[in-house]
Amino acid sequence: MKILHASCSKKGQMKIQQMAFVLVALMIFFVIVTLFYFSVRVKTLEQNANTLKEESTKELVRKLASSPELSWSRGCDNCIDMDKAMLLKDRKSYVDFWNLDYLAIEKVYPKTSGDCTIATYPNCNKIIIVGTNIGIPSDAFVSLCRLEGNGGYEKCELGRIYATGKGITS
Amino acid sequence: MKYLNKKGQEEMVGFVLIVVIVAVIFLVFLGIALRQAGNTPARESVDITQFLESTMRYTTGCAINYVPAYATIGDLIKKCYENGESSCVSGENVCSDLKDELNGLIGASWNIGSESANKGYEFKVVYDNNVTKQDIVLISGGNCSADFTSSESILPEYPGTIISSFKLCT
Repeated sequence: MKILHASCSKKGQMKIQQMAFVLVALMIFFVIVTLFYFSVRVKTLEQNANTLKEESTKELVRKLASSPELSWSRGCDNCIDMDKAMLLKDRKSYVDFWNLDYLAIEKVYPKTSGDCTIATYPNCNKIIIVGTNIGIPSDAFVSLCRLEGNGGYEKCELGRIYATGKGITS
Repeated sequence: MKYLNKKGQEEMVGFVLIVVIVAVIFLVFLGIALRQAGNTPARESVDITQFLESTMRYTTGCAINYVPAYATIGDLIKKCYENGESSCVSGENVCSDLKDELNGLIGASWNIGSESANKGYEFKVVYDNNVTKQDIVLISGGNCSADFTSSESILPEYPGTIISSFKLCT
């Protein structure tokens, strides 16, 4: 009777131990699954946050195009007056105006080459208004408009505006 | 002995139950996650929106009535919808000129290829009056079977609208 009791008690302990191991294994499994899920979620959230930040910076860069100093006055928010931009180039008083380290306008299409000077304008590619490029600038598509020819017709080309600096940090 | 066997069976049933419950929870969880991923609409890109807006204002080399009244891409889209046979003052067909200009704009603006981040593209112009849809222009290139970002630009054309959409495949 005593032997049987001792054997049953040992078996019971074993069973309790088994159950404890199963519970621990289950807990570990749940913890791993939860960690995996949250790591994926956090990564996705980080990606979304970066995308949103990038897009808001692009919008801010594009807003520069609608500032009175650059905007095309014929009813277009995202059009840059290339003649105005040419006049602003090399003006020292505008270096701190937008609080930017770098501000440039580049013609995308039709393709041209070379920095814009009074001699090469409008058959040139880039107008650097402020500073020298440090790091990777934020950019946005804009229309580059000017009056062309003797009749003075409106000609808009496709371009990009590039900017870096505190003025566009969201 | 019989009692001990029954206990073992009960434990096995309990264990199987736990495993089944865990599997069901995991499957429900996976199902919800997959459904959410499947319902995610195509991402809208600020960059593409800006590209489309600027493209619509791009002045082409096609004058419809007289030189120098050169039409924008937006004007050519409308003209191509109204009369696909109409031609520019230079004699070129409006629709083919529109396609040439769009190809040039897309090629100059986006780096598309199998080695690049953008594997393909699709530029589609459709007239929609809520009753019928009519394709006006379709330009595509590269491989566009996977994930994509897109945006639309709308031009009013009574009684409907002309929807230009650009899809960039990654």
